Amino acid sequence: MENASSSSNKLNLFNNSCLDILQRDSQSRITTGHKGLDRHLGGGIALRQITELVGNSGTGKTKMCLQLCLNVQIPKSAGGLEGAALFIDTRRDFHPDRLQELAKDLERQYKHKAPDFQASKMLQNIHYVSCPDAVQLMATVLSSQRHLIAHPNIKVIVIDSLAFSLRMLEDGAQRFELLLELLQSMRRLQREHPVAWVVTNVLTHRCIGRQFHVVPALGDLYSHLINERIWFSRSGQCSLGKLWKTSRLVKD
Amino acid sequence: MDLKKILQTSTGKELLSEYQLNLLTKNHIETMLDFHNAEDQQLHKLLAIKLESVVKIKNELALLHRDSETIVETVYESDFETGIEELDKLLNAIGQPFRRGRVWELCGETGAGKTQLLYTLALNFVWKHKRQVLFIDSKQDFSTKRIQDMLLERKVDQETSEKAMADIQVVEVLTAKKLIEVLKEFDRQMADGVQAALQTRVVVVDSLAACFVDLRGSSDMRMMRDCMLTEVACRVRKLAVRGVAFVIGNVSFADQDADPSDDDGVEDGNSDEQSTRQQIEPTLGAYWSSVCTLRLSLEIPEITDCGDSDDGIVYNESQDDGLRMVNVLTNSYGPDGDTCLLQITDAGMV
Repeated sequence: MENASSSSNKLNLFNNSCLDILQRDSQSRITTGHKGLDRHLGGGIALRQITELVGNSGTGKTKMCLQLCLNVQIPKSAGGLEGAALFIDTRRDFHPDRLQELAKDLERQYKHKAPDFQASKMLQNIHYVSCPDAVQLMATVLSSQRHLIAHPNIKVIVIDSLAFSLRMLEDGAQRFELLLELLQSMRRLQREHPVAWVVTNVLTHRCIGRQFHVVPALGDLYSHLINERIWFSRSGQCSLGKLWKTSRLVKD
Repeated sequence: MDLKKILQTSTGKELLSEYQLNLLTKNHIETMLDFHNAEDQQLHKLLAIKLESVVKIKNELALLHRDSETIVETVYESDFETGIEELDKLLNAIGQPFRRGRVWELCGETGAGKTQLLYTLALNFVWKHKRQVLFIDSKQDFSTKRIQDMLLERKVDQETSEKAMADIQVVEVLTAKKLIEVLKEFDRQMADGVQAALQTRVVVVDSLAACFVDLRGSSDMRMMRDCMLTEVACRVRKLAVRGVAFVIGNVSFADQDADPSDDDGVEDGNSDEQSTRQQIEPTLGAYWSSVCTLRLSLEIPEITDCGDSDDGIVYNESQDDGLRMVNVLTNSYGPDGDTCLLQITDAGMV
């Protein structure tokens, strides 16, 4: 295994240019269904990346998660990925009814382009796992390798919400350790499989100097390791960027 | 080896021997360019030949290489320039222009624009020189779209932009071990004279910190981390001697061990500006901080805080003016502490 990877690396050092990547990867994105967001992201959420959705409760993070689970299934004939989704729920907050509504909307939207694309089938393609605590979340992320082998068409794995289960842990050091452990296995997995991770996070207060700042929870190192962060606000607007101060407002 | 060309000139053949060439090498005149740039007086003393002969050899050398353009190329090779006007000015002022063999570190907070600056440096380099850049990506984050957008914004034709993009080679690296493998391999290929490796003059790493997050916790792991870091440093240095310039991205934290739920106010007499400046520290410890010849930090200039609404966040039009401050943290060739302002635009940093 180790030898194989190093020998392939020998071949790959200088034959993977920016241009090659561009020509290869233009299709592998999951549309968010939000025109402005798609434009900023270059067509949607990228596979093999960790995308974080952050915002206060009730700003549409979970809805976006569900929407992504559906959008990943858009048939190839209509420009989609025709994949499946794994939904990891830590808050027991999954409403099949809500999902069905969204699915029906999507079915209507694609009625002309893909008549076979039906809401009932969409629901079948969303695998659901409930993880009420951090230990189970860890176990699920570790075992998602198996899920991916059993269902190779899973293209998106959603953790809603990543922050919730981790923040229940009292011990800060343990929480940090577990978070990094999770990220490590997520990163490893997305390297081996073309899968997009979507996680949700909440906002918290932190005291820097003598001022309070509103920052995403889970810390700076975590912020460094995720690939993209989408901010949701109550007014229904979205922004992109790792830091609030430097994020770009997405216009429709 | 390069110096042997001196013997091809008629005056050189007449006056100089192998011994004198070795003498030059010992006195740190190792390439044609060094010879070209060396003081006439110094060469006159060193080689024990007439001053006029030194000038004559130099002129003959220039003639010799006019056709093959080697001189032109070596000049380009040694002075890369960042292509960012303000930054070049700053770097010239502190005596550290972007050159072959330089090892730079670029640190900054998450979201400050490190990656943008790295992209700009990479793109500017392939743009100006007919050389390649190796982009080592540790976060599977490389955005071809961003590069493409930058090229579009610079209004270049299809062919040039494709050429520029083909010159940026991307390698994905997930762990420190893999990073070392890649550097080793690069070194081996250079030694073997693989054309692609020889063509590559700049290596960009984004980001080093991400390679090392897996190594933490127990003291064994810490030891392993330090070993790996040392190994990386050695490899980087070795390649730098071969003339490859490195730009390494690293992340800084306001306060690494701070507990987000810790609400105690920081009570010190410092102004806000100062206290934040002191808290921001690049990762990877004291050892790594001595590896790079130049350490730049990219900071967001303090702006008036827009305050918090019920929503926790306020949407104002001037969210980000794109202004960033480059701060020289350490510089092994000159003074540090200088700053300059850069602007993030759609075409990259200017």
